[in-house]
Amino acid sequence: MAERIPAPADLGDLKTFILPSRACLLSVRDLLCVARRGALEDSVRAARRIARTASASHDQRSAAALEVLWEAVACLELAANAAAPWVDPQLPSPNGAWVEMTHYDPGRANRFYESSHKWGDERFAVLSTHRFRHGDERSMLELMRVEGLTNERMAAAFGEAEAATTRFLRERFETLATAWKRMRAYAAAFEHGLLVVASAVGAIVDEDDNVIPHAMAVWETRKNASRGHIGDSVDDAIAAAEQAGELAIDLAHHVADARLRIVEALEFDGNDVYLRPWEHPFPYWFRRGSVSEETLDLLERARIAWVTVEVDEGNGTT
Amino acid sequence: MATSERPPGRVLRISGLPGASEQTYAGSPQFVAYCLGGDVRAKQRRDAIGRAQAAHQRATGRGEDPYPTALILCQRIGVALEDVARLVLAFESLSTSDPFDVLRNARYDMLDDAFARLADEPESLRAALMLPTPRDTAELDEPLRSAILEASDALARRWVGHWTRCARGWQLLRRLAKALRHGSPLLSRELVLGPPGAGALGEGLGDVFERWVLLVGSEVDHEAEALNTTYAIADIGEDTLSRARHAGLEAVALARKLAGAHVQRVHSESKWALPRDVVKLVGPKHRRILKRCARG
Repeated sequence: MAERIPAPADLGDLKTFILPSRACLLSVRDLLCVARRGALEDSVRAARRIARTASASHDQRSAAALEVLWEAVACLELAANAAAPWVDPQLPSPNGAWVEMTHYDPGRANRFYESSHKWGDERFAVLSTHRFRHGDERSMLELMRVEGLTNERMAAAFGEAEAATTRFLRERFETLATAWKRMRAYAAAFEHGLLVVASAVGAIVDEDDNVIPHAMAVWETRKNASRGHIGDSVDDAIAAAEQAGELAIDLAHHVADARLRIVEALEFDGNDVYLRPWEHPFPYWFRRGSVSEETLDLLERARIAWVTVEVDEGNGTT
Repeated sequence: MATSERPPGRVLRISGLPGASEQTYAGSPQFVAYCLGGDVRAKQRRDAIGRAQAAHQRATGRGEDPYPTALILCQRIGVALEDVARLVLAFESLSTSDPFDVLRNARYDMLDDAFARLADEPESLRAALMLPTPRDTAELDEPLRSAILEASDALARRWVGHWTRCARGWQLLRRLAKALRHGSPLLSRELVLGPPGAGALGEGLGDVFERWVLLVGSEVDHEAEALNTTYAIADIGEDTLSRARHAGLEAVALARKLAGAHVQRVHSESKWALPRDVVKLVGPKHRRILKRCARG
């Protein structure tokens, strides 16, 4: 079995398709996810420190908690921008989904999270590259079979991984979609002017003018409205934002990593491209126990190597 | 996370503001209330930049990948720069519309315009910053008028300098901050130069900085039914980061001073209010006059 074989000629254009796709996905996985994780951890740490500091004012605590919500929403947008070009493609881009990743679409994240409860299993499977792209739901397993995968144990493991990952992601998306809905207006208020309402002069009141204690109140951007976090502590707002932000980074990483596995099977050597053994070809993300230990073992060890089949078209022999 | 999310029957009540907050020169009660939060806002923005800078120094000191921390620092500086532009646009609109609506409705193209336009027009900037001018001090007696104008000139020089550096910082960081906020791919120098490189992305650009990222944007050309992708290099080397950080901190300080001066103006029901430390910027004779004036 060859360690590397020449890549098929119909791979796609290197200059406009393969290499830009690879670069954009690497940027998401190895740069943006790392940056966002560091920033989220930093803001959570700072907000918790301020929340514990007796001398910190109510407004300082609010502003620090708002920063965490803003960071979490940036993580949610990263995940949406990385995944939506495949899960919810809007542009016909012959050069690949990377073009859509670089197109600013103000409604993308909103569509992505707010429609997620309506997605079928096939659409969740696109997140993990078990299916290629929404609207073109060829299964990666089917493609592998066409390309010669004959090992039925492996095929079964792939099917189990797809089903378990889809179930897991569907459940996780409830957290993400809820966080998006609740936090995005706070994030905009933080980013566009830090519109925190000074507690010395601002209070949220009911119809009878009774003050309803709020741990945090902001004016909204671009509308004559305000919103607030009820209670006397920002702790649960910080915890919810931390959880959503971390999950969103994990999702962005998972999406980019799953796509990159295909590209990382390519070896670039000068102007030539080769296929090298495909390590961990089956992306998965689920809790331990979601698949059998035997399947998990197979997923962890899976490696696809290549053989060259030469066809002599003159007499039809191989 | 429990949130009120504008439920029916609940409203934000603003109370306890200075009596003159309803006057035209105050803008609106909401704008005065916003300015009252100037110190908290400044502390938050400054601390966020400081933490990002510390993280970046730690990363570079340990020889770790400097790109993630450099980008986060850029984003936080960009947000601080945005604050001051929104505030100055609000001040510019004081006599024509509710400045708070202007502040919270301003879009990026308005911020771009404000930075560029006011950096080129120091007198317009001076008026927007509510500093006394020779024309609107004509009714004052001497030597108070001269003292106020010397202070105003000194402050204008300082603030125009801040603004010019902020405008340069905005030019550099605006697209970076937006790309980071929305999760758009940013390709590091090493990724673009390869091997194997980023294909068509970055083609034709030189390698002119020690550390940079490629900003990539694709626009839809509906008429031609085509997608056009463009790219540009953003320098995030240490010298540039240092200049950008100073610009960000100047933006934070300027926004704080402007908000504080407005609150003081409304409290004292005065036409102008100059920060207390302005006395350090004028000669001894005018300093004595201004101190006497400040004591009432």
